[in-house]
Amino acid sequence: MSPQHTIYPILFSKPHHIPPLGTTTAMTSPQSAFRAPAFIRRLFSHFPLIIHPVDPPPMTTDEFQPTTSRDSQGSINTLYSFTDSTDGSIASFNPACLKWQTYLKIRNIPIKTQPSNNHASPSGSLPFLVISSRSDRICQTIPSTKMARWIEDHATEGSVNTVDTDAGDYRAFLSLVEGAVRDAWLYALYIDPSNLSSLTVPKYTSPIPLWPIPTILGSQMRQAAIDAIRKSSSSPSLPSGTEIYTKALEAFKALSTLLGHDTWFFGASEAGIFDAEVFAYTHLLLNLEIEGSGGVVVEGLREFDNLAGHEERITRRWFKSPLATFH
Amino acid sequence: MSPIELHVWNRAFGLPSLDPECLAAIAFLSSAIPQDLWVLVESNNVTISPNGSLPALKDGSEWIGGFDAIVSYIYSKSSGGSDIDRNLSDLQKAQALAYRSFIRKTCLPIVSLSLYVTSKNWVNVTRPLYSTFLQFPIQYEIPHTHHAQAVTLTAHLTSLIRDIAAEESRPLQPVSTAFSGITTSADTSKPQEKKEKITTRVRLRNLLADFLDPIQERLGNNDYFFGGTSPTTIDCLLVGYISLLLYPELPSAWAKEILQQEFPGIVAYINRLKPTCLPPGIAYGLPDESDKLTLLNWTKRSFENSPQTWGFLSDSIPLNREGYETRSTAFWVAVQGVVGLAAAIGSVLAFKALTTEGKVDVELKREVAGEGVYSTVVRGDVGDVAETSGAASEGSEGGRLPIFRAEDMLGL
Repeated sequence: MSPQHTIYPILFSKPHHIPPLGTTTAMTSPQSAFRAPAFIRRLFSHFPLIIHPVDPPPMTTDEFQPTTSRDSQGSINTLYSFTDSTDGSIASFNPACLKWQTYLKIRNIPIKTQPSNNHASPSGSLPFLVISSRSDRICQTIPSTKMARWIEDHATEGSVNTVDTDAGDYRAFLSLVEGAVRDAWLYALYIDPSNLSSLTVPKYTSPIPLWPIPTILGSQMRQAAIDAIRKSSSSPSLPSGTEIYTKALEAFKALSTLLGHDTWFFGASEAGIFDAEVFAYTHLLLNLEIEGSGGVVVEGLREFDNLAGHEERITRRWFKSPLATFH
Repeated sequence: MSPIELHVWNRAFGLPSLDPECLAAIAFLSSAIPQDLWVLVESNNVTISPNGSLPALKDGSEWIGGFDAIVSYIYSKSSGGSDIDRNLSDLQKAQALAYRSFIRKTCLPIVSLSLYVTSKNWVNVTRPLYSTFLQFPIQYEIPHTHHAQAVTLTAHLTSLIRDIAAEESRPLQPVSTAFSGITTSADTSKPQEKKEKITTRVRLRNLLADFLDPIQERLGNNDYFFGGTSPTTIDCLLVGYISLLLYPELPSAWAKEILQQEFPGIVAYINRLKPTCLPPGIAYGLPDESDKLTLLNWTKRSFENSPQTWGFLSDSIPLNREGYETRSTAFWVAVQGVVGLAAAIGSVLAFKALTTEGKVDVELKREVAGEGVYSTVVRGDVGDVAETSGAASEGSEGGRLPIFRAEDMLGL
């Protein structure tokens, strides 16, 4: 097997079978009884078009290091997410991506972001993290479902997990954020037609702004949002928009009570995963220019001073000015 | 003053309702207001509820739909007097809200899995149950809808459902004695089967623990969820949901077994709450004529929903409740418009056809009438017919054209 990857025409399986142009003496072999016309020979004389570099030999066991012992300092972590920028300190416009981006920042893991879309993800959903280090050639891919675990293993000294993710209160309030708050987010951004056309569709379809595609993707996203709301409501019938907003404001009230006068949720000394979770929604609701019916929930959220203060604390410490993100 | 009516799904499994939210509402009213102020009505009719699902509360002419709305309505009606959460601190109230959403999110799939998706239970118990209280055509639609909803709720548990189904179907596999010498697989597969059964059981246990561990942790040795001496709304919700796992007698009783073996604290807690929250002596009322689930209003609802179910209207969530009705009305107005237009065009065409072909028609009729085979009605003026019978197609009126007879086709 040749170490070189070359592109040969189908007619000739090996390069030495190509007769040099202009030579007519190779009549002895039975193959040359047939001579291709001159223009075909001229065409094929251009091949191979590209000669790829030589493949490296397979990795040896000396080079192989188990993932846990790998030096994470020299590696580059890239978070593939819905974002406009490769700068890790500019917030993503998708709550799920922003949550992990924030949590990685909280845990002091340096990242850069990469604008991407669902088709790039091995699991079909963003965000996912790709770790590539100079010392070894294998890129590691971590989907969002395994990210919490990976962060636990790779977080630098001095950063600790401040939230017990098995605790009942954490899980209860998490279900509140993932239920009522998420529904309101989906309704305001995907179902309300004014925000869908002015904000959501341009943001998510910016890589492919060709005419029918944003419209089609927009209606698909809208349908997906409706299905998500249907799934999260406990009754078989769909709620109305006003009911969704009322529930979200009740949820923000509960979150505001939970935070109280503390700096971080659950009275922790340092920010944790739940802070990232809440921040992902509050930051986007407060900083995206949400129009239409969504204004109700934004105005309502602004009235909870401690939640707004919590959002500002995280923004100032880990992110660049919010204005830079959305203009 | 007539008592408040609480409209719920039918009683089942020795419990006052088959739906967890309805049970929670019953538990709430039992603990919040005196027994003689309300009656339970098994109307099984979702059309009466403003949010399209039961439980629904009827107070005079006012309707309130859904557990959360009922709770806040009773608070405001009694101006806080029957607020069973009044002793809670602000933080506890916030926690109560969070746990409400937690219970619904984690426990509803488990209840659906146990009662609807575990096929042995669905086929032998839950499905036949619906036939006992629903009349003929409706008993095929409602359980189907509930089952479909349960399937979507448990969509993330597909592999677990498959395992349960595989386990159930095993005893039914025909093991013919004639081949017992040839197929020795029966013996070799036994340890593996046993192992599979254990892993399925462990996974089901983990599913339940996912929901019950936080509850158990919070409950500790308290009598009630937030301590204290009386139940709160969270206790009501928990009774509603867990009693549907604990009390039904099912052929595949994994939920009950796991609860009894692994969560004795929860079982004791529910057993303790049941006499107060779901008391045996609830007063039952009969639904008003207009609130009953009749064939008529069931058909009306199916008809009104048909644009959505048939995909004529794209899914949408309007801002207000009224939006759903206006959307549906707009559709039917459009349908009427289209039908009206078609009728108008049809009648114009019919009129033209009849006035021009009138002569031929009359001749034809005279000819056939002589033989006395066709045409019993003799109409002279064809123009009359077209004018009076608007959209009717030209040929059908009064059998002026040869009537098709099946006998003619037999060749006799």
